[in-house]
Amino acid sequence: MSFYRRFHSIGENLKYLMFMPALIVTLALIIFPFGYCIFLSLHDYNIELPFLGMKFIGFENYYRLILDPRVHNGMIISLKLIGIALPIEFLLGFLTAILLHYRRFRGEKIVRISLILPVVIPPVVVGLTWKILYNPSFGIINFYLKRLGIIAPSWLTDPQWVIFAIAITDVWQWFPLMALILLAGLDSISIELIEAARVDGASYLNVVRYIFIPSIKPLISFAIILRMIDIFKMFDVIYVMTGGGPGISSETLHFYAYKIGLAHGGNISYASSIALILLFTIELFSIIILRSLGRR
Amino acid sequence: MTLSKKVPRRYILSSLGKIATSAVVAGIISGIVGYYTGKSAMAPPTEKTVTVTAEKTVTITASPTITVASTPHVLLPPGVNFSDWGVYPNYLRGTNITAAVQLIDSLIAVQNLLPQFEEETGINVDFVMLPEEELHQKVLIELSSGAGKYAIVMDDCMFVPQFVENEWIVPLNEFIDNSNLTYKPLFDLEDFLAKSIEIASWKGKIYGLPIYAETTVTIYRKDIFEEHSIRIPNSMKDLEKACEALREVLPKEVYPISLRGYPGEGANVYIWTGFLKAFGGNFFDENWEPIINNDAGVKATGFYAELLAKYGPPGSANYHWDDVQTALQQGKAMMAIEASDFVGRIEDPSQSLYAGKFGYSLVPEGPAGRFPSVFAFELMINAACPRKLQEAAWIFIVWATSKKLQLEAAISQRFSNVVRESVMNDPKYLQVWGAYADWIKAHTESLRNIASVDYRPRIPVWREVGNRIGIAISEVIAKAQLGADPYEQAKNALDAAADDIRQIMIKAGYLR
Repeated sequence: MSFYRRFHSIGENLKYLMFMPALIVTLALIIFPFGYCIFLSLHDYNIELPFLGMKFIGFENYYRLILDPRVHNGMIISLKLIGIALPIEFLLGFLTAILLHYRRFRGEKIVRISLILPVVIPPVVVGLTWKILYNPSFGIINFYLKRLGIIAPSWLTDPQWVIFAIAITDVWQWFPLMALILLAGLDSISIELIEAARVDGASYLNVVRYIFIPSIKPLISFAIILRMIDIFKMFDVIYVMTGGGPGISSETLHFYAYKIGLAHGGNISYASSIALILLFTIELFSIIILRSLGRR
Repeated sequence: MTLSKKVPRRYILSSLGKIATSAVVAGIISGIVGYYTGKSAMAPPTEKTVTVTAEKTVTITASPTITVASTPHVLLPPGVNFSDWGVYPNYLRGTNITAAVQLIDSLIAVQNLLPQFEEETGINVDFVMLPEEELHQKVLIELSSGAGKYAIVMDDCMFVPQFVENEWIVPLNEFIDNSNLTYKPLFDLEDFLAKSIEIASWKGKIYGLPIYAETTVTIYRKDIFEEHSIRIPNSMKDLEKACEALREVLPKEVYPISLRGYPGEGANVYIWTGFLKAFGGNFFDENWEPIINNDAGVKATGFYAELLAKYGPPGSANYHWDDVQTALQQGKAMMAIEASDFVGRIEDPSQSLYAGKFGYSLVPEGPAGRFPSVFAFELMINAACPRKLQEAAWIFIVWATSKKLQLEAAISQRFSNVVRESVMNDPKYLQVWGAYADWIKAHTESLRNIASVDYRPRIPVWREVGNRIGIAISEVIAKAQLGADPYEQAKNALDAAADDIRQIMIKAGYLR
């Protein structure tokens, strides 16, 4: 018995020892940077000009942020991107999932595998490829639009079209992910349920409406939140395709923080306050979506 | 109970086994791949050095400008050796230094001759090579961390004030005055283009030696201008007229002019500054109050945007120098105001469809005068390094910027933008570049006489200020190309930029 107890007590200590690495990693990589971010946002500090020193300025960064037109612009552009890309991604993804679930067909596996291809391409490569496609002089998109007699905009340098251009790229790359998540949900619905409904005379549309959507609702909200967060912090594609330009027409809030903090002159404290505001915005939106969709 | 317990265990064991096997397989594959890629990545440099040493012997025997005849007259301190480019002390033998550089043409020549330098001096130099933007970010991270990993950093001359104020780099004057490290007659500070040294100085001390110097020139298609007898633009008015005349004779998808629109202190701001100053504008008044949004600034910016809206290729707001260069090389644009080093690439038949058809002249003159730029890549020494590494770095910098190396780069790499007067006057340099007499004239005249080192304001916060202006310019161009009034847009965009710049200047302590 005493042996067992001793063994047990080692086990107790071992437990802490075992989760130490995870705890240290979490502390070092998440908790500490987060705390440091808050600390920085209350100071005035430029990493490129350390000779100016670090000054405590309280909430001045936040006052400035509320009045900064580029913050407003960035927020509007982030929301516009989400407003355009997310519904299209969801609709396309949902339709694709239903089509693939509807009936087994020859080559279904190939379709499923090719669905994952855009998702695994690095966003930088996607951005570069689409940048060439969008080129007004030798891009293939404008070439065919011209053939159809449509006067094509110069996508990436036209302040009105640039957001659509980025949204289209994002939809192309990420609607398959949406489709795959929703397809996994559909595949988990038991076939008896669907058959029973069909026997009772439900049309396929009714099956979709009363069986599919309610059963995969948690997955839908998960997929939408995932994509929303990703679009909020989209970086690579914007960096490669427009660099936030022309002017600030494609400068999302996230990208603005990067420019202020790193690319355009090291004002890391102001960038931290923007990043924190972005974090709370994402949190807020996630809660709203979870509240409205997450309930069964 | 037993059954339900058994199944997962077996399942876990089998999946663990699978993971372990696949990890082992992946490890072996990546090991093999890594070995071969490492091997293939290592192969080319060795090949290169072999060919280069052969080349090198030829050039040394053939270069008569530098003589070692003065050796006997020099009283060298003990333990210091003499060479045809300078002196080097024995105690630095065996030192290892790292240099963060961008591989421009002159550095290719340096890299090719490096084995000889290492053998001679016993100083081993490793290069970390990066493209311009990445290099700058890496240099910033390295210098601000104070780790002293790179003894030598190569960067834009505009960042010298910032680096100095942060005490990231060391003044070079004490190295120059140390006879163990510098043999003045061969080093010859006066031989460097005066402006490339001036722009690397801050508060009376020199902080960098140039390895590349450029200015801005007007580049135009000689053949087209002659064919339609269009006057080469000498003033801003001429420039507009030339564009107008070209627009009438050119096909629709060929554009009279291409200028940089991509936002950035080294992108559109670099070219736009010439317009701003020509129209009588400036960045700050004497009290450091931003005045880019005054009448002259709005006029210059409006003019710049109007030119591009009317006569530039669509999407000019995102054109960086390489896009302008491509437009020239492919005959899409007939004219540009650009960096003088374009000559090396637009006159190279393997890159350019219209090599030999370009003409060069000074940048156009405005009501307030003519303002070509000064730009130089400087080699600087990291203050975080120990003294011995700094001295080794200095020896390397002296060697890399020596007459011998600059001439070698001009001959073997067709490097145009040399930094030494003696090389610019050397018959061998003129043999390569003399064919472009108008280029030599515009380039040297601007760089020697007209250009001012205060083309862009030399202040520690320049990067933040310049990038903010760049965004405003790009915005104006984009909106003007959509049909908006460029002058009205310029006023709005520059007002907003001036507000932000004011904040930056307050923080930096220039304004209250």
